[in-house]
Amino acid sequence: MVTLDSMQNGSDEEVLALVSENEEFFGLLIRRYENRMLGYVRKITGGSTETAEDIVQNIFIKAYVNIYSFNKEQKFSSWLYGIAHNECIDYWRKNKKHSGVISLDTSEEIMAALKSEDDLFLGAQQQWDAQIIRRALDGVPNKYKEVLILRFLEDRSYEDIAQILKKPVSTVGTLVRRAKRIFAEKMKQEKI
Amino acid sequence: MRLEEKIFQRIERENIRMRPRWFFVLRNFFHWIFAFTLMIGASLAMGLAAVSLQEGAFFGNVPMYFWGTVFAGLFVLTGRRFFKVGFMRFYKYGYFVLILALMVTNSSLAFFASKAGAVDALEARLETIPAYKKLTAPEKNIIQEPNEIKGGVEQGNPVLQQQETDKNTKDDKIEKGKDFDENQATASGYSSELAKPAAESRVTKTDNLKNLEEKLPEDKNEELEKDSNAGLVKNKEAEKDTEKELEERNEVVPQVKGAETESEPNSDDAATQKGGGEFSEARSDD
Repeated sequence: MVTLDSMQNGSDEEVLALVSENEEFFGLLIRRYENRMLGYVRKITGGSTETAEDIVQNIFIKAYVNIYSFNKEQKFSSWLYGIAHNECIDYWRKNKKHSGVISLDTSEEIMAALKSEDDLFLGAQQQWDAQIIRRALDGVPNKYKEVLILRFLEDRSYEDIAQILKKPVSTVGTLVRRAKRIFAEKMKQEKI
Repeated sequence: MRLEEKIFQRIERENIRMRPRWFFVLRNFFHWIFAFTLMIGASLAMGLAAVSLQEGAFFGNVPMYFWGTVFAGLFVLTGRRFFKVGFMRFYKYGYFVLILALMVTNSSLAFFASKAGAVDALEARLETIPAYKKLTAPEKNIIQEPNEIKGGVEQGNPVLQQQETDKNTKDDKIEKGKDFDENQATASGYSSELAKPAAESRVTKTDNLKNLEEKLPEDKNEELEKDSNAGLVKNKEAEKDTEKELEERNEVVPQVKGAETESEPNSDDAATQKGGGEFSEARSDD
């Protein structure tokens, strides 16, 4: 009998195979990916924590409903990021006015870092840099922004990005190259 | 509350269920079927465009443009569908490889379809649809076919009228022949009552001969031509005799011109002879 504890160190695909028997295994997958998904959605949409949480809930529910459509040739994380990508596109469509707006959370994070006592200056500096990068990133079109985030912030391989965006690997390479060029131009505009 | 708990609560509240495995298997199957149907459609459109190109020129070939556009649309749809359903097979290669593979497959299918006669059969079927027939019918070119058009200026506006090409029916030919014979007979001073039957028999003979010629093979035609030439010689001889006879009679006619009844049998002869003459001309023309 496979228990939840025994599967703590199991691969995603192994856990997924057990979801049909016991729904609690799906909880294990949620715990594994909730923070990554929240971070990714916040970076992509630029929305608040609440908005990101709503989107992440939708992502996991879609994953639950379509769990049997998972292709074993694919990585579970890529499949989940693919669902997240579709959800973000839906969000952009519904909230065209808000897309590309800088999240208020960044300034909140800076304030939090300033209030913290340990290594005050370094923390604030890092947050400040992050805010500048995010501002430059917000100027990049959504298509390229997503590629940049996946490649450099989420550290995904070209193959993974191809599976997430449903595009050929060669196209992903072109997108990354263009995204870097656009981002560099935006950084110049920000005088960095 | 943790995110995990929120999600499970929502699943319970909204009674969300996993979609069964067969649903995805069936959906995948229909996606593949649809993709292959699109590919066959694109191949047939390609075959029809190729046939249209063979039958007509490149410029102004409306059926070719039509089928070319249909092919292009179906090709794009097929590509998209195949890329979607077979993503895990295709994503490692670029779009170029997929396009090339589809192009080769479509061309091969179109080739085999036209060899098997499927394209021709489809075209014949499509020809029965009035809208398609209208689309594929060639436009009348006034510059290249000026004889087909007649017209003029009516109240300052140019008016074009298309001639009725099927006017030259058997009855018209008979009427024309009758007029001709009547004129000839009148000029010769004979009655015109027998002109119409003569013209009728002449036209019928000509038509029958034409039909025979169409039916007979070439060697038979040659034989017939020889016989016809022999007949022509005989006819000419007979014509000469008749002319002589007529000349003799003309000398008599002015004396009995008032009594028309006497001239009737002669006019019959004249009409027959004239008819024979015209028939000979028609034969020699052929």
